[in-house]
Amino acid sequence: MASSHISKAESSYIQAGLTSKDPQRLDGRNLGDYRAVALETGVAPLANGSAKLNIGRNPHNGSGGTEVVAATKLEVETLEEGAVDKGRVVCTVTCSPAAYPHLSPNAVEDLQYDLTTVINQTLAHPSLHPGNLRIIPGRKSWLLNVDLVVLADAGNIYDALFMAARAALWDTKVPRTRFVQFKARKGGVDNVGKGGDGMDVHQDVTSGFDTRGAHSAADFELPDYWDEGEVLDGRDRWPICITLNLVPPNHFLDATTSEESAVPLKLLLVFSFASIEVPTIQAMRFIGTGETSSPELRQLIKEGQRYAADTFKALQSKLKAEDVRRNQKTRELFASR
Amino acid sequence: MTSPQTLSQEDQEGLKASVFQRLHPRAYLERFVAEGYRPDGRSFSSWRDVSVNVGSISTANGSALVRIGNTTVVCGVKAEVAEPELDCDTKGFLVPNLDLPALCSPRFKPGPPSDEAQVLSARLNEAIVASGVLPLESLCIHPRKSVWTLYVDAICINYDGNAFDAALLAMILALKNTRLPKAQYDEQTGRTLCSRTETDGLSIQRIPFAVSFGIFDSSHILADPSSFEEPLLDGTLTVILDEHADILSASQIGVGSSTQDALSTCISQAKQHHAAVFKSIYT
Amino acid sequence: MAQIGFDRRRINGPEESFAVIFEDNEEDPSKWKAGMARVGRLPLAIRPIFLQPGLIEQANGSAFIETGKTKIAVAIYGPRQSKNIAFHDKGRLNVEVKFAPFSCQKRRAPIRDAEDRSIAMAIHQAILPSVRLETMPKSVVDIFVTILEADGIEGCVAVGSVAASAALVDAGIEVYGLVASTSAAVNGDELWLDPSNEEAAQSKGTLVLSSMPALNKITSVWQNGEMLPDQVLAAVDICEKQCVEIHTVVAEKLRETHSL
Repeated sequence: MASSHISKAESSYIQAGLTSKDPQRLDGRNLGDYRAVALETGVAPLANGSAKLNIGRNPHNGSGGTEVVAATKLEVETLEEGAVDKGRVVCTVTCSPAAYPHLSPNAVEDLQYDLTTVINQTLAHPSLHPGNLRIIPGRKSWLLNVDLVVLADAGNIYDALFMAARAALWDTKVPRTRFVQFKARKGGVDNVGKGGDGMDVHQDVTSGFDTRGAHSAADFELPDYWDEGEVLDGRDRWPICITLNLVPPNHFLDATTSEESAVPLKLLLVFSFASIEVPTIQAMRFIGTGETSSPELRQLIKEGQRYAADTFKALQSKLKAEDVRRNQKTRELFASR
Repeated sequence: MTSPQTLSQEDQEGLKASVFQRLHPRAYLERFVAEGYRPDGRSFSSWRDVSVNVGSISTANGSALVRIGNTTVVCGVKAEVAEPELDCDTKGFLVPNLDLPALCSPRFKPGPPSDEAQVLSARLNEAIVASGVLPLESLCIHPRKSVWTLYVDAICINYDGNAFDAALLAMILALKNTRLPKAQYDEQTGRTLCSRTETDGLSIQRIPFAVSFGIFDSSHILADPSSFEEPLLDGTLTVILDEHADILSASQIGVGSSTQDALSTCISQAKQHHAAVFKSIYT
Repeated sequence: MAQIGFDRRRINGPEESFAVIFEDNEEDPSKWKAGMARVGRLPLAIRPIFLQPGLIEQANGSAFIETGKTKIAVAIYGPRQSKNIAFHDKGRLNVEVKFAPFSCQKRRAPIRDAEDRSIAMAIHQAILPSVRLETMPKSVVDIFVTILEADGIEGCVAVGSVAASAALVDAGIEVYGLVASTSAAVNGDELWLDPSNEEAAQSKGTLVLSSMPALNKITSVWQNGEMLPDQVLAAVDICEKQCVEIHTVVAEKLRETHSL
């Protein structure tokens, strides 16, 4: 992915700035600074949850930056024989060709694949699985599709994708379902044979075998209710990603495109904050050439955790503010009627 | 790296020979053939060593690894349950495929099956299905409802010519090694349930054994052609014998030999080879 | 009629077929389940590694590796001319992973899927920092990995990386050091090295560490699932020690093969 569209001179200029005693970045940020992040939830009315995220939009003309739209959609899935009846989570990343004008269609496809793999492996992991995706035990469950579209890439795409996915999943409402069941009279055959002598024994045996048989039909209905449903179980756990760009001895956050091409190695750390004191690491990836050692890694994980906690707090308060804003909007809408 | 490396006399000769082989493969082979030998030191009618290893892959229902010289083919059989076709409701499916991945030779590219792989798969299918190795009726679990599908997938991991003979041998050995779980169709639920402990072997009726020859310069018959010889051949002739060394089929691809008795020579050589190795493989 | 999975370039089976379903009442009671102590191995024991470099004659370099049930063949072709017209001042590493249809419990249809790609990515990352790509501009090194039998994805990544690195050396491609790689899984409070498919599936989190023990450098950490930062660090330390041992075995084997 190291799209080498900057010259060697420019690359070494950026590197020199980053590795110097008093580190300098092109846009004047500190090493640990993010660009401005803009987030809005509920942008796609037909999705079950959605969010639009921009990192580094130019405040003067409102253009530029890394832009990602995330949306979740629930689908009813009939379970195959022997499948685990907990529902499934499937994540897909699509890259708009306009976001990568310098890449060939094949390269964009490969990139899409790579991004999808990282996101899907992390978010669809059993340890993050929401508990309320079951509809009818053993028969039907929700398939949670998380679709992410990269509209523009101005660097730091992984952080943007995970943040947008977290916002969309936070926003996701699972429709309430009511379980409807039809039960045949116990052992239909039995009743017919009642009264006949000697036959009962035989028929009892048949029905004894029959526990698996189609005695009951089951389906579900969607009760009409004022809201769109309940939130996903354990939505606090959806993780966020911190990409550490390594320029030994320094590392920095939120690289721009040109900084990315000048940095050989990045480390993705995905943290989940089920509780803010004891976060867990949900995924870790190295991307690029260059290597590290275990004492360095120890330090990086420690720092990464600190950055992630800050980002998490900021994102969490924004998500709650968004919830309030949208409730407010709905209320005003009703009031004005 | 700056100073030219000094090679011994012997190495230099060897280098010359390999450069000649690269640039003029045909002339290179012709010179060997004129002396009555082949580049790998074999005579025209001799075979490379055949070795087999059966049942080494535990995720497959049956498996085999076959080596003919350097050519290595691994074959695994996976059994799945399917519904039979409407017009032959007791027949199961036997699906043989050979994959020539990019791993096995620089000639092959990653991606969908190459022309060569397609041709070989079609020929293998014919050899296995048409010669009645396994009656498809024996794969029936319950008429009209449930039959076995045997996916017989062979992968070449080292391609040094004569992949057909190696693949056929690997497929037949894998089928002989295959054990299917005892299966029962449940009419009530429409499901086929299998036992975890009890298994059955397949009722193999015939054991086809392929012996391939290359025809070089329209007069020389080279048994078991290697990957170096193959592109230089006018054509190949394959004789398939059964377990009693009776002929099941003989096929020729490309231009044949100008001598009249090429076919009969091949058949008699095939029978000799059969007598020499068949027993040791299938015991 | 359009058939799903129909491919006229292959011999086709029926339209649909299903993996075998077993009667569930016959499940082996002695089978290992989550929460039980590890069966057959100590927590920090790995399955013995059998490595054979140079089996594939046609390739520039190759290696066959077997550990427990996992069997993987790796072939290196290159450095050869990059088909890409754009100029690169560094060589490129291209990793393709392919599962044999019979390599897993469930048959894998012969189409490229996401899992192939994710393993390829992980192996690519594990060996990329070790290769001196700056010595071969405009070229590409193709690494083809065929998984003949798999027992756990983590194992495939780890063992595949070891085999790929050994094959690179066998091909005479310049590297900074051999890459060794081990996987670990968190089961209960214990850390188990080199988990099997079942053990990894039952664990909360898994990690694959790749390193160049000769230089004391880590090339990749590929971690999935829930782990505490301290657990990650503990796993990294243990895996790194194990990699040193694997490195010794692989280096010895390569020396043996190439001195003949």
